[in-house]
Amino acid sequence: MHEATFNLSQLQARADLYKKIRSFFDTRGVMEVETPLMTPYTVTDPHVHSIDLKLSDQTWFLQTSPEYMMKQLLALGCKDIYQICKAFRSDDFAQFHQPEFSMLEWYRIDYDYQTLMQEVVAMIRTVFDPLRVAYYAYEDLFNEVLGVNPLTATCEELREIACLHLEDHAFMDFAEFTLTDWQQYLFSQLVEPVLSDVPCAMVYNFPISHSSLAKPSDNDPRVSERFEMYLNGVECANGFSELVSDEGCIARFKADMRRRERLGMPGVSVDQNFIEAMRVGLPKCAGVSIGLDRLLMVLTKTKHIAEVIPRKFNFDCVEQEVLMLSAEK
Amino acid sequence: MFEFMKLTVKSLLGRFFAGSINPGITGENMASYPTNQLKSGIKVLIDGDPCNIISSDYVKPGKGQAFNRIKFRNLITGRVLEKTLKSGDSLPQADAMELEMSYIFADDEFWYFMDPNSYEQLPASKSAMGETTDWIIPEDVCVVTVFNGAIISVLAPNFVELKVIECEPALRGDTVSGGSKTAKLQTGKVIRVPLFVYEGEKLKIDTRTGEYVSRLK
Repeated sequence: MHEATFNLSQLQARADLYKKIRSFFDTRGVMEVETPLMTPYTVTDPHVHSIDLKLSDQTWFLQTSPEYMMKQLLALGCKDIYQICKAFRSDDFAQFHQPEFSMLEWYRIDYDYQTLMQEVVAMIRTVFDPLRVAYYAYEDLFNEVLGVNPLTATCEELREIACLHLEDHAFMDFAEFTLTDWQQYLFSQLVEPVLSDVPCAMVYNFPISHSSLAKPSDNDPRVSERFEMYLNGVECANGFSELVSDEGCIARFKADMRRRERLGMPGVSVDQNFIEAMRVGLPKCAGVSIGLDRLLMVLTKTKHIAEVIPRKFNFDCVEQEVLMLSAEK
Repeated sequence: MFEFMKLTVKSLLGRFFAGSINPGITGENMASYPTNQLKSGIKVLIDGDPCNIISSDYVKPGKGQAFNRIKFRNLITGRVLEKTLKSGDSLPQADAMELEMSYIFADDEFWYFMDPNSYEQLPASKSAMGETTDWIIPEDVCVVTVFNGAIISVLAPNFVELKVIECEPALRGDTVSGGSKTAKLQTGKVIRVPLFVYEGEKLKIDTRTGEYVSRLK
């Protein structure tokens, strides 16, 4: 596990970033909110693993994102809102992953994913400049890099591409891989690296199968109104036009449950408070979340996420400084 | 940490009793490593061969299944390969370890090595020795890989000191050969050396490149 110690310039960089973010939203009239990190329910997504804890015989979950809580605020009548908070996922410690990380999430009433994309770019421009932004539809980008249309290709075709491009490389027990799994695998392994030379790439219209709670596209039912932002090839933001009806959400939850069952994973109870909020209904809106630690990595040119989320204090240095000071006297 | 110690003890025991058990049989209670424990230096069985993990990268697409891309060295062939596993899968532990052992002597068939702590001796076959035979003389300490009680590979020290047993005298003004000539070392290996090297001298050699480094007084 990569360990890093606190250093003052990293702390300063984070403070500066948060100040700029708050001032950005302040001038646009977006209200800062705070919601509980501990929740009685968790997400149904089979690939998002939550961390649970026991308190007097009741199981609680640390939030994997503030999405459900913030949407409940929207259903309650809140207008434009943003939040800077911690989120927790039971992931490995890795170059771009930590179980505990910081997230910026915001919702805009009457926006769709296109207008929200513009706002994300405007926000990013306030923290680093100049910024070249490239826009790609998922289908076109995938097709351009790998020569196959991800929305019409079969499992077998995608598997062949994986074997072709990753020579000398073996896949273990990938027999039960679904079309969605192959799309995501190829995109992360072969398409994302192509974006590493692009300072800021906005990829939009992801397949409907991996759209979480994004609204399906009006023009093409195979894709959803979802986008991701990549900074130097690293996924830093995920946003979409929100599904605003409870039927839509319940259908997605049921699909998640079926996938969990197929993967032999334990079931989870659907967040009843969230379903209740969706019954009341959301106004037309769009929301996005940004991984602040990854953004900080880009801003401070850091290679490993642990460097921006240090867990240790090195007091040896302090002592040396104190000793030097007393020696000078 | 304790898990690691337990495994080491198990491997040690496996090694000491290797003479009495049939190598290759690993029993049903074989330990295995899940992907999040695959760190550099861990020995696992991949397609039946013992392999040394070099690195493991955790890959998590924004909305999908997490993977681990592992890079490993096959301890028998020495080849470095890559594989992708789904996070949460596991690989069986290989009863393999790397030890420092002294080379003691060779007969027609085997090269014999001794563990300086236990004085236990193990033979290494010609295929396990590979090109290492070009570089080592008795008492040299080598890194030896032991799998299921048998030596499968031997790595020569990075630098060795060997005597020149045959070498032409340098010809004055010979610049055609680029200021070097050939010399036969006591192991039988022939290498290129500078013109000033004489028969009977001891040389320091880098075994990774097979090149002359310096003369030793």
